[in-house]
Amino acid sequence: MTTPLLEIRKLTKVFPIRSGLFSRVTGGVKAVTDVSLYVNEGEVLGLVGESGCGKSTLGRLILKLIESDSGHIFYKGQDITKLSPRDMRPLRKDIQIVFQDPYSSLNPRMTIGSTLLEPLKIHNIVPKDQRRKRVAELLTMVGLDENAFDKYPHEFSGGQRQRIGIARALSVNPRIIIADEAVSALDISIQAQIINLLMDLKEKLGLTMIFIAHDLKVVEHVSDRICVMYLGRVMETFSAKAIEAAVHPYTTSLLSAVPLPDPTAKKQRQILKGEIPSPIHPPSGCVFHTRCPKAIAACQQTIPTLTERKPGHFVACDVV
Amino acid sequence: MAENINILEIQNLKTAFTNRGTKLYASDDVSLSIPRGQITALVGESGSGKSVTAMSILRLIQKPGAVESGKILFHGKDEPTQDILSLDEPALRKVRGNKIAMIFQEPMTSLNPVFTVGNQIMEAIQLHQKLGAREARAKAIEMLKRVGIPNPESRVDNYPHEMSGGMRQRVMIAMALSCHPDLLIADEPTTALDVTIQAQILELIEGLVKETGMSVLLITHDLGIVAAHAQQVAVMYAGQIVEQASTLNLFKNPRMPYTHGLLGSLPSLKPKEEKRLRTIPGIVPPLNKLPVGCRFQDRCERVKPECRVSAVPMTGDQTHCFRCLYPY
Repeated sequence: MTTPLLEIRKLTKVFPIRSGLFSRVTGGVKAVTDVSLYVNEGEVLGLVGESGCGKSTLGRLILKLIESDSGHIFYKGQDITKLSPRDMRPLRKDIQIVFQDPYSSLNPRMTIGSTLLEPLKIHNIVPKDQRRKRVAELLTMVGLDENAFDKYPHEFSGGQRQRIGIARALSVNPRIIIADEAVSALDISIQAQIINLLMDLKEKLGLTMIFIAHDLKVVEHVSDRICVMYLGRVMETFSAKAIEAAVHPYTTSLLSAVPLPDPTAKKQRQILKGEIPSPIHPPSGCVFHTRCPKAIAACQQTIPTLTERKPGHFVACDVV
Repeated sequence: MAENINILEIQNLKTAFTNRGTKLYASDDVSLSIPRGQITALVGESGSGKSVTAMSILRLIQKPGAVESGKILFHGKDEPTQDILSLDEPALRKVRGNKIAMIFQEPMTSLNPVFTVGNQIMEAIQLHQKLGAREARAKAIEMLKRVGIPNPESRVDNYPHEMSGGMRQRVMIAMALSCHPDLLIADEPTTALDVTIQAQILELIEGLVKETGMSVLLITHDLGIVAAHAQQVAVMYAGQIVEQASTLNLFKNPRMPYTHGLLGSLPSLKPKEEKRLRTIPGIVPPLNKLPVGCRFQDRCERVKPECRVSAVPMTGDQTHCFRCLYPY
């Protein structure tokens, strides 16, 4: 078996909660717990889940924007978990991120040109005299006009800004792009444009992508494999083609909760009761048992392990 | 007198915002009928004027905006038809929050953080009904129970920050329903919520429609929600309604190229032959740079010279109408 381009083993992150005198640590938000997954070269892995499920934290952990508490991240077989910032630096250009909010992720005081030139300078990607040409190339690649170079972010619409964000991520010739809710803030017609752009670029440049989103329809559309998270844990991972074969009760309820744009679709909804518990005090046993329609008494005690049922189909549930 | 089949009729509504002497019509000649006992959806992308239209119904538009012309006819239960736009303040207050209630997108910001949710629901009740504090509180608890809040007796004394987003939206609905409105205007009620919570809230609204016979104007950008919950739908684009039909008709047979494009650009969970989404090129024109003629002309694949000559009127019949000279 070939080594995956990126692999995560048992990654855990707890954000400490400090309060009282001397800001003592009084608790912790268990954002990501025991997450294991892999991404093969040229693949799109969709990470989906509701707010607070840890999908964005996971993205930031992979980029090492925040340090994990335990577990390992392997990039091309190399353990990068404990790399110093200096050793990490050459690898940074290999993994890039596109953020959700195209309004706050661009510096309003920098022209688009200088925003795109900066990573080229820092990583010394192209010789000085060719940098401007490279920026022009990047702008054309994401479907913008070259004269965007001297403009400021406020002169662009949300969709165009997201294109700039994508151009910035692409500027350093990355291998992996993490798209963190990259199309969530956009209107439908613009969202479709950006999704198509990302998919075209992925094909053209042979990128590997981790696509983080809460919208299952979008994730299903772009991904090769989908990883469903709930309260910091992976519930199920499956091939996007086999979405019908998903068995975890959380996945199936998530699927049935998505309103489909087809009024004739028969409604057999499985509406989850209650709310997502707090990640500060997650439920014992299976984290989903408090809302699970199929929970049995044992679910309160034992934490189900993620096991491979069929090739590529991992499920963390002891009941189904 | 036979009851009008519609609860509300908006006729040629024009709402303008004045900026440095130029008037921009956020809602431009909007006509819309909301039938009784049904959910009518108003869909569109951001800036298409759906919220302005909704706010105009309750005359919540603030300066520099103003409703310029049009009629909003409200056919309340057992009372004569009223034109909301010509009501005086006291008469308006009897309608607003009472006969017509509204819930908003942000359950975080539409509740007052310094009062308990019980207090806020009681305020709405006591404003419109002659009830003592104790009765109003009992009513508030009953409403909370009705919208599915567990332990309403203790939850009634919670402050908004002690509740989750889904709970707060339930509180907003409880407040809106406390005076048994004939019409509920829900402006993106689930946009800020997670899918599983969204399903709960929409199910709740649908259940209340069936149970009480109230009518709902549901404003949303999500065509999935429209397909699953609304019976009627109106599509807005750049300040105008561009297509209006029953949900079944609109999804089965969209006539206006914009609606057509919008439906095509949706990812769905169905297996697909093609991995590319259809897209609508370009962006919505800003209101100060609207083209002459059809407002969709620059993004339309069926555009012809006639589309650029003069404003396109609504054509079609009551069951399905659209603004297009060359419809699908």
